[in-house]
Amino acid sequence: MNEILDLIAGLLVVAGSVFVLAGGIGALRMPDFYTRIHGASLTDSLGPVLVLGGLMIYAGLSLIAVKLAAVMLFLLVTSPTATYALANAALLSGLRPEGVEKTSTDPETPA
Amino acid sequence: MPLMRYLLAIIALFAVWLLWGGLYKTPVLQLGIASCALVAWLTHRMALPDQQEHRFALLYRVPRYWLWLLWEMVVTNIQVLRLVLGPKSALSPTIVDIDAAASSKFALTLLGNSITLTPGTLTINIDDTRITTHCLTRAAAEDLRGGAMSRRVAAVDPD
Repeated sequence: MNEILDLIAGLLVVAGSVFVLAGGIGALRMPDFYTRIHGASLTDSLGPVLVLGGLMIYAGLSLIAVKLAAVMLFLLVTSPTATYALANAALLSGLRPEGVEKTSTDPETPA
Repeated sequence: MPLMRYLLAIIALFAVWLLWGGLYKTPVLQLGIASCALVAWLTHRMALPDQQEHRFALLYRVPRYWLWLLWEMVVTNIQVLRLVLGPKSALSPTIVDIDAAASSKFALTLLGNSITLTPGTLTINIDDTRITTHCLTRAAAEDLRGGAMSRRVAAVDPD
């Protein structure tokens, strides 16, 4: 039983690492700033959820698992906030997204 | 009554401190109380929007929403993983405005963060009436415009 749980934990950590790696590749490969953010967002959405989830299974029902859950919770609240700060700063300083189909109808946002 | 709320906040924070730290020596505990008081004061200074009457309902509605969001994250992560590794011609960046005129500040924050958290859609601007998003593909933009996420956020915090 323990071996099976360890195996599941390991698989989750590896799967999470794949998403983090793909996030790095995405940040390098995507054509412009906004699409690069999309690529990099793989690094802070499912990647850490899988890695921390795997570690929680590895830790079992303990205080360590609770702490890992708390880390995941804080990460899931703070990382989109930071991403928004980055994207909004780029938008407000006038960086236009490349190759966009429908532009914003809002006269106030320079999109 | 602000003093009561200060005390409640400090007690709650200190309980978490004790749970996290696990080191029960007098100087550490003093430091803990001091930092809890500091955090309570800083939070008060930030003047976070006051929604006392909603708080307890949110405690069980938000986790249920998170479960749905987690599934959305799995689906969109795999989509974007394919886009990242695939040809660049598959990209069709699109900007979409989401109408959010009826939302509370909490719902706006939750929706904006959820959009950013699901790869392929990115919140780039929020004002009182709408959320402007940048989407990696036309299909992701159509999904967002479909409004499944907005409806679920509205159910979490009906206002």
